Amino acid sequence: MNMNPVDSFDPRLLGEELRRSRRQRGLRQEDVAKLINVSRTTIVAIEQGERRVKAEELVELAYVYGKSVSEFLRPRRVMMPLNAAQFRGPTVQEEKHQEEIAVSISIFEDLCGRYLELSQLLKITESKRYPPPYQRSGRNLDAEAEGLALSERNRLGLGDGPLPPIRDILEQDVGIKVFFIPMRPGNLSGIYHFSDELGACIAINSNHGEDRRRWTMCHDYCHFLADRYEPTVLIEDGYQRKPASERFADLFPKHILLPSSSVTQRFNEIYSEQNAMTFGGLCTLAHRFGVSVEAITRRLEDLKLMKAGAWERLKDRNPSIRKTQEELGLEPLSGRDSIFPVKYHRMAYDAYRQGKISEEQLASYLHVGQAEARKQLHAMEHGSDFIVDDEEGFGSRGGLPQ
Amino acid sequence: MTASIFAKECLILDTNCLINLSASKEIINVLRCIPCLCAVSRYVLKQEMLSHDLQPCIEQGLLLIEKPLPHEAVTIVQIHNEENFPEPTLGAGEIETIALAAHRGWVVATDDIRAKKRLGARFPSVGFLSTPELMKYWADYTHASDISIKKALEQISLVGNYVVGSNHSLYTWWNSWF
Repeated sequence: MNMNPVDSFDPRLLGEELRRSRRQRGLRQEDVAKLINVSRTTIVAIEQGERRVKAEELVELAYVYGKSVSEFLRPRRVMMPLNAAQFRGPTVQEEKHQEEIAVSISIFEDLCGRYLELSQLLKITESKRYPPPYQRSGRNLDAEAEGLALSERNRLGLGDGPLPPIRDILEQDVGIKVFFIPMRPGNLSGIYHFSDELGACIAINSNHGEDRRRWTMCHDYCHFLADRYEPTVLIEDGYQRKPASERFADLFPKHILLPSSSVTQRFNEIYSEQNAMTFGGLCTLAHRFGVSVEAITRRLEDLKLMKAGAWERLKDRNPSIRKTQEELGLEPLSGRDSIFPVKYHRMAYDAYRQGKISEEQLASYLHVGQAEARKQLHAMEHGSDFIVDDEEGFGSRGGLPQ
Repeated sequence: MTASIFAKECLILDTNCLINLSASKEIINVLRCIPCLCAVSRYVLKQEMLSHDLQPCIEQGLLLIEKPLPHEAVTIVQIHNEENFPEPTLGAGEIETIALAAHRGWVVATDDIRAKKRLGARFPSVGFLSTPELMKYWADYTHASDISIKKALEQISLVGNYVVGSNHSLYTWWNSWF
């Protein structure tokens, strides 16, 4: 009865999981040692798999890391090629940043793993009707990126106007799983990963503004279209020399977000009203297309609607973009910024309603407290005038909004 | 039934019951009238960030904070390994709460049917109570006024978003206040 159940686990794998969790928490080995009242060498030995962790130590460590013991005992469900993803991207990062990037990747991996758990709990097999990967010829990347953007807009029936929320398009129409995670370092914008079990997954740095997040989503969307099976970490200014795949993905957002036809048309409308393109006009145009003022200005330069160097000149004058937008009555761009894709939330609620998980586990899946999970459940079902009693009669409520 | 179960040494409360009692705004009075010790597991307290709401109860000695001993930790790990595989279905707080109760011969207050069913089958000696039973005990024991009872249950329903299951033995009593 009192045999250590941890003995049946590979101490090296367990140690590695404990190390990942400690790093995610930003704790040093000596900090943890003090918190659980053991020596630092004990933590080192446990993490290296040289000493088996005792049950009471595992429970203590889970407590300190804010995790469930189960998370250490289950085999990791999503194994990202960490090093490949990490080092294929940035080449000029400080050691501290490399550590932060590794932590961000491991958090992303955990969230993907949670998605997979829910799918398997509900026995859901998603049909992935992805378009075939795009083959770059590499002759004229800009023209190719424009062609690919137009073709995607046509395929998805998006017309040529400003795009509706990109996250919804990617999740619902394209089938990419989009996670919003507060990531460090600050210039880490996104992570793209593809696995056979989950399909395409993107992590976006939720600390960034919505215009930047939209741009990053489109960037990673391009990786999905053209370099589907290669994991990528997008770091601003992280390259000494960008590979073609990155240059292509850099070009794609301006074409999908700012198609030449509709940008030109809207530009002409504003220009004819004001007989000039004022800073307020640029703010309006940027807001309309859901991009930054810098992005729209550079695009107008690109389309030769403004003189080359317009953005640099504008930047030197240091205008207050937010103040101007407020004066024009333009609300800050907003988008759904929950950590998980919409479908993940639905699966979590379904699992709870079907009695497959407890309320506490529901909260754990949603990354909220139990009171908040109940509140969200109530809010989702608000308006439904029926109560479904399951076999156990624990008062689960009606269906989720469709 | 409720009174006899209080003959146990201690009642350990799970998160969902604590959320409900806290929402009722009568938690101090409810805990005060329970004729045995009341406790919460350290994990539940931290995880739910309930410490702010529960601080007055802790300061008044109405709620003890408990952590597992080494032999209890073995049971916790065993439950995690067996019940939460291949996918996790039970929360760490629920598991710790019931493991402590099983080892110490305590009673568990929980409203979670899944936890009760899975872990109750594993530890048949563990007794269970729920929010409606605790609230009814408080109402009867203190002879609370109808207004106080109605208000407390409404708070649990509105603030705690709690819905009593239709198979619960106190379903009719609970709903008679609305």
